[in-house]
Amino acid sequence: MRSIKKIAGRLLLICIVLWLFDTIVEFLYRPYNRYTPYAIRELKECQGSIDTLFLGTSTAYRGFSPDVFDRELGTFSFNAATASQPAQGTLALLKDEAERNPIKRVFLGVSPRMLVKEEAHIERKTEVYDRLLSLKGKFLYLAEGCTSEEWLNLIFYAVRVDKYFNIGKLKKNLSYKLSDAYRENRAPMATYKGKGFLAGKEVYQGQEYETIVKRESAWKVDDENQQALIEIMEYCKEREIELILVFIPVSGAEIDGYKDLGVIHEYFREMADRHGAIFWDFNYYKGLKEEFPNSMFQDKRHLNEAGGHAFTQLIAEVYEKYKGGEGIEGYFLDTCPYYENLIDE
Amino acid sequence: MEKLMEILKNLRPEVDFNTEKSLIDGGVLDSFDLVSLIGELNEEFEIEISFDDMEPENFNSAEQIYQMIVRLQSEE
Amino acid sequence: MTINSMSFLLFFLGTAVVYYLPFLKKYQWAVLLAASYLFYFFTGTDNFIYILITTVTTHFSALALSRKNKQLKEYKERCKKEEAAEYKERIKREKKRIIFFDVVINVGILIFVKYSNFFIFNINRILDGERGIELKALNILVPLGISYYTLQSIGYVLDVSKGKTKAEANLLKTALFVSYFPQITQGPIGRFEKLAPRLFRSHKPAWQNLSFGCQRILWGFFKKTVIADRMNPFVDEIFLNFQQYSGFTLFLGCMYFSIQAYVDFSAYMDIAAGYSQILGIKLEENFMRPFLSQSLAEYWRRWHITLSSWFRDYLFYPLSISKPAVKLSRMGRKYLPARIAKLVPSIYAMFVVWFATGFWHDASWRYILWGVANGIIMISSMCFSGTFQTWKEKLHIKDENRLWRLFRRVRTFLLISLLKVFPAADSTGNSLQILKHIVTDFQISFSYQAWFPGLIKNYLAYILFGLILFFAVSIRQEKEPVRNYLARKSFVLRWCLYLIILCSVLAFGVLGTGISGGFEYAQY
Repeated sequence: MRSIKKIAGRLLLICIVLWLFDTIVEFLYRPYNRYTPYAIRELKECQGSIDTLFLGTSTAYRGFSPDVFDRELGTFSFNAATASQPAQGTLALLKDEAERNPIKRVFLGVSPRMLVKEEAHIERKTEVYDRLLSLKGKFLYLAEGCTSEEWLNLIFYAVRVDKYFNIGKLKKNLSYKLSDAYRENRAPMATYKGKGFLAGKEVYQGQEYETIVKRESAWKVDDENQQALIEIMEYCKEREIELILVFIPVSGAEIDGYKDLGVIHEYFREMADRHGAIFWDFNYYKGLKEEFPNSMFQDKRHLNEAGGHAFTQLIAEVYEKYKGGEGIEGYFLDTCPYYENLIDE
Repeated sequence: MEKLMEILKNLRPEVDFNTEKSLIDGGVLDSFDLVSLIGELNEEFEIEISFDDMEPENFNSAEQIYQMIVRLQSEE
Repeated sequence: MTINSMSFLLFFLGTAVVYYLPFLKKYQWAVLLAASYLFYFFTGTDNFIYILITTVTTHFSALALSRKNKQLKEYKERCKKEEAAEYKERIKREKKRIIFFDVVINVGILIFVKYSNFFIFNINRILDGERGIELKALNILVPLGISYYTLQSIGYVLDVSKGKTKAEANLLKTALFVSYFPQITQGPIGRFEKLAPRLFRSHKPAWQNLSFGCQRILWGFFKKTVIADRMNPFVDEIFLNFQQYSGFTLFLGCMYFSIQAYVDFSAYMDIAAGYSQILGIKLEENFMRPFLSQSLAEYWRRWHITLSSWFRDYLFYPLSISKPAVKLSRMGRKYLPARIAKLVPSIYAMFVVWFATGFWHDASWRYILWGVANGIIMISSMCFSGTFQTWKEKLHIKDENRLWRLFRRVRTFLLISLLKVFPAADSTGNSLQILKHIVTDFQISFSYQAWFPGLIKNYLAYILFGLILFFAVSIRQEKEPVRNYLARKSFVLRWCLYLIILCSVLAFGVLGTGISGGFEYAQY
């Protein structure tokens, strides 16, 4: 018994010191000019009132503007999408937020990339982990969504810092973090618009498409990711949270890269049908070509500021109609507009 | 004993093995001498000196070496 | 699952909890056996068969040998001397047969799995496509730890034969001795008489074992992550693209490699020994600060000790007093001065041992060259020791002189490092090329690029920090165990040190999945 106390005491000491050390390291080294720390602090402040959650990958945090959405519908929304968010991470975030917030609806930005097996990149997971606010949420994510070799990277910020003696960067970081702007949680970059929404200023200069020829699609779903997606849908069904899978508009060049969007569309539609979710594919939106040309994108996959605003407005409109019981079939075609001419021929 | 003295003489002609009483402790024989000597003794007397027998008290003088040989032979 | 991974830590925690369950006290060894086989399984080795064969042959050879020993003893008591001598000869022959059988099978497996490609490759080269004969490479997956457990098992059988240790009657216990998980991947190579009692006895949880074990694991992780793994990519780079570097840089590379290899290997030992100590089982020490050695021979007494002592006890000693050695020695005495002649048996044995040591490390010519080069240097230093002695006396150098000792240490380190060119390069041809570069293109330069090509300055700072701490501890350890030194210090000071080490592992160490390229990704 005595040695158990002894062990416990020392473990406690170790934990406290590590926590202290890590907090200091995070303060000193987490870059002030990235949006993540600001988004996390906002997320903390918003706890208890979020009723609408946006989740997904980078297409989602550039596509859903909570400000626009809330202005249109009077909701309280937050965008918790993260870079290349793994499906397991989406599930963990959803559960964590649903614990403390009266969440009524979730918009999950889906894309083919979400479900293919991607090279494990630790940042995909740290971005999720840092947004998990409860210990329970963090613990569950470590246990269910990560391998044990990733734990240290997730738990300790100190492990993620690569260069400790980059004095110039450290100075800049420190001077901003000690300023009033940081204390008031104002991000230094203009692209961050709050509540997890990023608005790109660039305009995509790629090729414009009139029609796109379908080819054989080699798209392959990873079993684990699919399982996580199913769990997300089942979780929402159980909790009576409205779940809308949204395929956010992409540029013609990106659709061309899919080879056959129809395969992907059918997959998500079937999944949604089977598990009680809704699927809206805005790449089947009738005005896709006219309303979302390249000028709405910052690169071939991501909407820019104008695109994000326009899209959020559109989805708010569609959602309002849908809730009002009006049909929304009029918004969508049976196929992607880029394929239309091809079918006619 | 004679055979032993001859072997020792062959090994290190300059040492007087009749009088020297601290071959090991005095550093007269080094480990290479010993290795060479043991091989030779094993062969000549048909015994098995193992390396566990490589203790100073077995090798410090010609007399001690002889006693060890006799002991090992009787164990045969 | 490697021993420095998080999954091993979890696996170990699970094992330790079961191991110390009060009602399993008598069956702790069985828990270890189960854990060892699980570990073997988890490491992704599906070729269990080899370790099973080794276990079974070792077990039954040892039993048979001990039966022969017993028979002989009983016979001696009963019979007269003359008859006993004859009987002894017979038993001796039978024992030899058993040992032969055991060694042929086990060394045979080792050669088959580890060296068949090497032989096939060389045979093909000799045949040179003549008559269209070309043997196909077998590409067998080398079973985990086979080089280590094979030697350990053979050592046990030979010990039983000599009557140094008793044979174990329980096959499962022999299986544990062969496969004990903390040491199976990289040793240390244990001796039955020491390791077995520790494995089979039951151990109570002890505070000291836990605390010393944890300290040692922490220290091992520090060495591994902050020094060895940080150095690894940069040292690799030097040897992979050696054509781009001057002989000077390559020579530095050899020194880096030699430090890196030592830190890496000894870190591994620290982690293994630490884990094992938590279970109450002490492992043999494998290193005694080899870089403080004053000669190559001393270096080999302090580096990978369990391997060199294995070769010493089971190969060098028997060979040096074997019949061929005696014959060679007699021949030598006829033609050579006595001073050299007495060295002949040792030289003969050393040559074989060093050839074997080189070959044991890896199935390649560069390792054989490396082993033989080690042997030649030691043999020549034996032969010329008299000459050196005279020089030293003339120059009035005393052995205790500090500067002289330092000189010898530096010289030994440089020599060891230069020899490392063989293990460091990725092929025999390249290692010779690198040697040539070092000799012909040695331009001393003081540019950062010449000293640390491609190494990020931040990483250099981490490595230096690690090395300074590491050498400080090594030098202290030379005087007394650092643990004793620390134990005299106050609790606060001790814990400050532990926590600093722990934090620097997290900050400076290469851990888990690296974050290289990190932020690029977050741009989208």
